[in-house]
Amino acid sequence: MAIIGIDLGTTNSLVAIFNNDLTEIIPNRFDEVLTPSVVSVLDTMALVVGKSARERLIVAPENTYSAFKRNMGTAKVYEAGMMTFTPTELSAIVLKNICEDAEKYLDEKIEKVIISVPAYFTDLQRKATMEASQIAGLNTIGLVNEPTAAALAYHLHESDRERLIAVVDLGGGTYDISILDIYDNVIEVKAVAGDNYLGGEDFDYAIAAYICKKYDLELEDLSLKDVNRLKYVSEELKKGFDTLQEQSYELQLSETHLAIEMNFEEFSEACIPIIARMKEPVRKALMDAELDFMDIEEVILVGGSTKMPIVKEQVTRLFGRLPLSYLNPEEVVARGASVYAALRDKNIELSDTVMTDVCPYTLGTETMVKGADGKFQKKFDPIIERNMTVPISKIQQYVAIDEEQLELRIKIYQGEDTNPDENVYLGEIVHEIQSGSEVDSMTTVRFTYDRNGILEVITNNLRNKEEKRAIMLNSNTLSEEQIENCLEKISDLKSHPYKEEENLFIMSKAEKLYDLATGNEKERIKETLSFYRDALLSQNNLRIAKAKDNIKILFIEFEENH
Amino acid sequence: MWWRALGVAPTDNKETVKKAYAALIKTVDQDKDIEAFTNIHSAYRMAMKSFKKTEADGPSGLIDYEGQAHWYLLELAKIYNNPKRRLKTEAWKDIFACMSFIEEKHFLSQYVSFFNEHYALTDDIWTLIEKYYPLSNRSDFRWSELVKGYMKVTADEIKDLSFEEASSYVTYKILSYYAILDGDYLRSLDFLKMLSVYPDHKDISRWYLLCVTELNLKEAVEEAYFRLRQIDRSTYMADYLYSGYLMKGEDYTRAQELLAAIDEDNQDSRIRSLIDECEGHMSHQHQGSHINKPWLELDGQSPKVQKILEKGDYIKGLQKDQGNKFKLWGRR
Repeated sequence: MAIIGIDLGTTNSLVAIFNNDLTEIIPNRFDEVLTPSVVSVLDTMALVVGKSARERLIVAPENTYSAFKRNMGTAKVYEAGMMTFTPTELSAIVLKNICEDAEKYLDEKIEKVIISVPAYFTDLQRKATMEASQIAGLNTIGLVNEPTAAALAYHLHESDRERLIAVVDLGGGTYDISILDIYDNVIEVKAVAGDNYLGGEDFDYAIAAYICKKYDLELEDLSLKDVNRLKYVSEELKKGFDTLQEQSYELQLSETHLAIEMNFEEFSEACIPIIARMKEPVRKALMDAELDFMDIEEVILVGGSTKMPIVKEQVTRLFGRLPLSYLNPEEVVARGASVYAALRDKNIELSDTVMTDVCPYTLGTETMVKGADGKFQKKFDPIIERNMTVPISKIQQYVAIDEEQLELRIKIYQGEDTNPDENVYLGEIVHEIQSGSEVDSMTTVRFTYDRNGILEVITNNLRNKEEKRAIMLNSNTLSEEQIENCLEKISDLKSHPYKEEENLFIMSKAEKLYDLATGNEKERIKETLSFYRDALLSQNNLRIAKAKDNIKILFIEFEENH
Repeated sequence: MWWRALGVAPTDNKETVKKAYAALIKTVDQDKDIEAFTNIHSAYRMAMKSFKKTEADGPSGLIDYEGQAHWYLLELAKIYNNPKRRLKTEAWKDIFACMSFIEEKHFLSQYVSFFNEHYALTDDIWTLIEKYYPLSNRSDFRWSELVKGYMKVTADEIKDLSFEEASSYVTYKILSYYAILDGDYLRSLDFLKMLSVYPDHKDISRWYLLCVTELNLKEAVEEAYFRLRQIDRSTYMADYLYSGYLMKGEDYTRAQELLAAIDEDNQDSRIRSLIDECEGHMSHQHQGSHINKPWLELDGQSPKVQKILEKGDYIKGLQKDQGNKFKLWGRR
């Protein structure tokens, strides 16, 4: 019975397990550690997840979905022919897929799961993640913040040193910064801040926008297919600039042919507005932790996008210190999540380690406050302030504002604005009272926030001794029936046969390259592809192997040429 | 008391407190005993707060950026002198956001003098600067009227101009305003004349009318008045300023007609009192006495305006109007 940690990322997802004091990333069916968080629906209505699906972003953009983590907790709906998916359902499909692979690899059932989420995820986003794991049929015992998980993984390597660290986590779609104090096997999160819409995707988009501007195109006017082509090329260029000073790319769009030329300076110019957004959250986190940047003794890089030299450079400049990234930034969160899973499961090897976390947003109620003009105004009254250590329990008292009042409505919000309407409404509790007098209406409100992000509100009217309670966040709100429905919908879509998946990947990739290629290259891909198709039909293993080799050589050549 | 909760002596040092907390917190089940956890943690928080911040014992491993802090000012100057970037909010926003914390520390000791020298910026950029690095409360900053928004050059005013044109437009507009504040109308007029090659703007036309009135350049006043009426959507401002000129020449009848014809919506207390004054003069044939005449509406909280008031040589008094607006009364 295995207990695993999952990093459900915007771009890639990973599974890891903690065993004998070591973490191990579990490879997927292709023997690769990264599974692209992409889902595609084939013409046969079969589902495919991972790298085969990613290859289909260009040839079948209408039926292929990526980066849906960015829309977790929103009402966004993805359409696929007759079907629709929510971001939660798509996440569930990915979770199910990677867990199946993990069970096969480990040759045992997965018993418990911890999923990592960005520290700055709102509670709606956390809730959606929990729901996705339910639909995937997993027993998720908790969520862990990604930077915290990363710190845990580093702690495992260097557990004896006391230090104050900053974890900078720039992933495919989200940006987080956490300040942690590590001493005597206590890992104390002091503050978190971030931006839920900042990541590798934004760099791709900025480069695509830059190319459009340079070659007089309107990104908004392009077809979905062309946008995906352009984004693919932008991503390739982004990777290329890790080492190159200048790049060119021939790209055929449906109506125009682009000979893209880009040098490093132009690339930097496109990226600066994105990079510039990294500083403010750092300042906010330092302020909340009541620290100066000089107090930070170590900076750790997490997330695939921190591999970009331009990002590394910015972090170095910002802190005036070289950041650490000796654990692979792409894997460190999954590794840490598996440590956390073991920790929560009271694993013997970790019995001496304690971790405390904070709540990322302020929680409070709506109150009416008399202004200077004598009129009542709505005001957000914080009860649990952001970046307080959780679990935490706090109490506040309220009275009615009007003698005639016969009920007391306690509305609960989450956010940082003084106007409650600008914050996220979570729910309310209503008390009937005998009158609005202070004695009759005096009611206490207790907020208890635990480390899974569940807020319990207990209200107590002191006069009639009436007690009410409600659980606000992260509680499993999907009914059995709803989960049943989601499960049914997803299981209707059969997974693409396991055996054929490699062929599907090769075909999809060849089709994508064919789409992007020009001139002679196009002809060659077409020939090799039809040779491969014929070989598959012949069912002659020798011929198939030969065709496979041919096509793989073609892939390598193509990638070298660009 | 926190030391009792943590089982330490109040005299103990930070390290001992941390160790005690670390040992204690490991005995609590965070999932089950929230009450106990909260108690221990808040005691720890109190304890840590009681330790005064120790002197920095030399942060280790910091890269030396001392020299680069100065480099940062050069970078800012580069933006200021770059035709493509000076008047672009994004350019400033990006460089502020990219500044490292250590560079920022050094920058903060020098930024006031930097912006004293480099001031030809539009309203949106001043707003941005004020947000990141407040200048409005700095007494050594020369152009506080700009950051406080008492005087504005909007991005809209210069959107059709080339960089050279835009940069001289912004400079002259700022300087002409400051000349008025100094009571040097002749100098202001020089700058305003330089601005006459650019599309008309109501601020500039208003100031022009004000300057020629103050300098008593009769023909120019007539011309400036009709011009202002044409371009200023709120024509009452022209009428208002011009009536001041008429009253100066003791033509109360025309001044009264002009003021009385102003839309009801714009008939504020200021204009009504002028009408009263005109009528007073007309009925009592009150001649030869000193007349109060408003000449410029300025924000009374502006330190520059306050300074003028202190000088008192051509200002008779100050009356509070609605809100923070003051009107200044000139002496004949």
